[in-house]
Amino acid sequence: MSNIDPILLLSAIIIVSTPILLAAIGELVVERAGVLNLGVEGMMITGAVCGFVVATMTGSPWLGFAGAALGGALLSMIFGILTQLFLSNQVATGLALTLFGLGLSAVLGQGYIGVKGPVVPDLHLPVLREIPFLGPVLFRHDAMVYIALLIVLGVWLFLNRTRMGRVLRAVGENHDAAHALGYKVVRVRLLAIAFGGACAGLGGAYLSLVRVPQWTEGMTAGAGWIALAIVVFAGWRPGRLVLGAWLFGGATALQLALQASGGVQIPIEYLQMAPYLATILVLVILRAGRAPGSLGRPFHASS
Amino acid sequence: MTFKTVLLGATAAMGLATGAMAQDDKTKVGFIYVGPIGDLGWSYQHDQGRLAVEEEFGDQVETVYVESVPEGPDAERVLTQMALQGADMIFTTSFGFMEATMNAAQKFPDVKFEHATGYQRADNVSTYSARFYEGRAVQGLIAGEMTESNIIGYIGSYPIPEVIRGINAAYIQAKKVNPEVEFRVVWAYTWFDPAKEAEAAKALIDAGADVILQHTDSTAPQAAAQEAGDVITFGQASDMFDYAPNPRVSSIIDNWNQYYIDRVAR
Repeated sequence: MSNIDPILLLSAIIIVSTPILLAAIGELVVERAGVLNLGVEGMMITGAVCGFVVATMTGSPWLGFAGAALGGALLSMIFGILTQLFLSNQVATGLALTLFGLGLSAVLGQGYIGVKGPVVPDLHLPVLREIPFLGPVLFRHDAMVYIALLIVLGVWLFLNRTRMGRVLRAVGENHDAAHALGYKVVRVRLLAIAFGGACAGLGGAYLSLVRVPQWTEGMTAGAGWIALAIVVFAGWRPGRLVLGAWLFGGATALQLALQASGGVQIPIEYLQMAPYLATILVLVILRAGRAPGSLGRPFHASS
Repeated sequence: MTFKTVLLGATAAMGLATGAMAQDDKTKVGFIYVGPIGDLGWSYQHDQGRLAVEEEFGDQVETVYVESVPEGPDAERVLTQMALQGADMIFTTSFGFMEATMNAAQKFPDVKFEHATGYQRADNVSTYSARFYEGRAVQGLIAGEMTESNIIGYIGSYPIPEVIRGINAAYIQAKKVNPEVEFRVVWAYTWFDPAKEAEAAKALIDAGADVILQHTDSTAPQAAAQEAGDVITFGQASDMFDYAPNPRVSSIIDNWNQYYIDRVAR
């Protein structure tokens, strides 16, 4: 135990949780608008490959992230058009989107296996990075870590402090009432879905450009499903989402560090389940919120 | 993943159905892989073997494969599907497919099954493996000689015989050339999860390891080591040449080609 450096561990936690946090905050907005998109995994992996391909071609990781967001958003529009305009079943369409994304990414990434992408530099925050302990833990990351947190803050402000955010929530709570009030339910939902796709894409690109960093087929390996679960356990609230993502990332990083430190007496199986248990326990104790009223229900103006 | 395999199975089914009608004396050989064939590691090498079979026998043999098959009951479903589609011989290329292979073999006594790295057999189930531990021993020797921190990190997949044997082989050799050496094993509980593998490698490097051995199939630990500098790694199952000469100093390359050709020829 004593071998674990708390500074390295805490900074690892932030890195581990960033992709999940990005994907989850996007899905949170989608679900608050009353849409259940189970295609997070597919959009993440598509973002991972788009980000990697664009970054490698242009040499700029930032264009890569932009490409990833665009790729994720475009893919999500397939889901959006099918479920919102053609009223297809959201669960089935979402699952199909995951399959499609996994296949599509494998095709797109054909020539990029084993290729090295550009390096994402640390954001150089003068002064702050020199603070003992807090500096290395909080202020020596790449910019995406802070962008992810800013997105979460932005979503919170949007949902709770702006008129548009309230419209979005109204659409999610009761789409018939929102429609009766004259809000464009389908339009709001399509925008939310595109935002969700873009965030999932960013999360995927964080894996392929920062955390791993390389392109490998199927590299998200279930991160999208974890993000979906965290949205539910966080009770559809942005603040708790951060807590959930950090808890999950924290327990994951901690269990690996415990194993690596040597001399752990805890059976490995318990360490393996720790991230899942810790996240579920804490978020259940906090008592999860209520699901948006219209979540997953199809809407048509005629009904 | 589950659904992807269903889809792949479905397309394979269509291909096979037409093939079966046209010509039935073709030998159909099926392969199931635990990871994607693009992992540049374990599954990639098995698929190279499949391609070698195709090249060797040309029109006489037809091969089908399903990649990213989860270990467990899902594998049995994929195997059943393959057998129903008329496969004469099926290679199941991961330890975790053992139960599924045994069950499927019972259902289809006329189909020959071969299970890699397992320890259960039947009349129509044989097992095959390679002396991976010899390669591991060589890696252990290199690791023991090259380490400066005397801490060697090992990313284990699952605690199963083949993996533990590999760790022991490496450890014994490393200890021989460098009695000070200490092994730190991290169990990832996955064969393929680049993010987790990278994280495991980083945790080991943070704990002071300057040599990383891996028994997981992606090249993510190589990338992590490269980023850290001063850390050496070994290719797992495949060459992983993109990371040579540094950090990848050597590789165990699994070459299944001749084995598969020999077995199919019978």
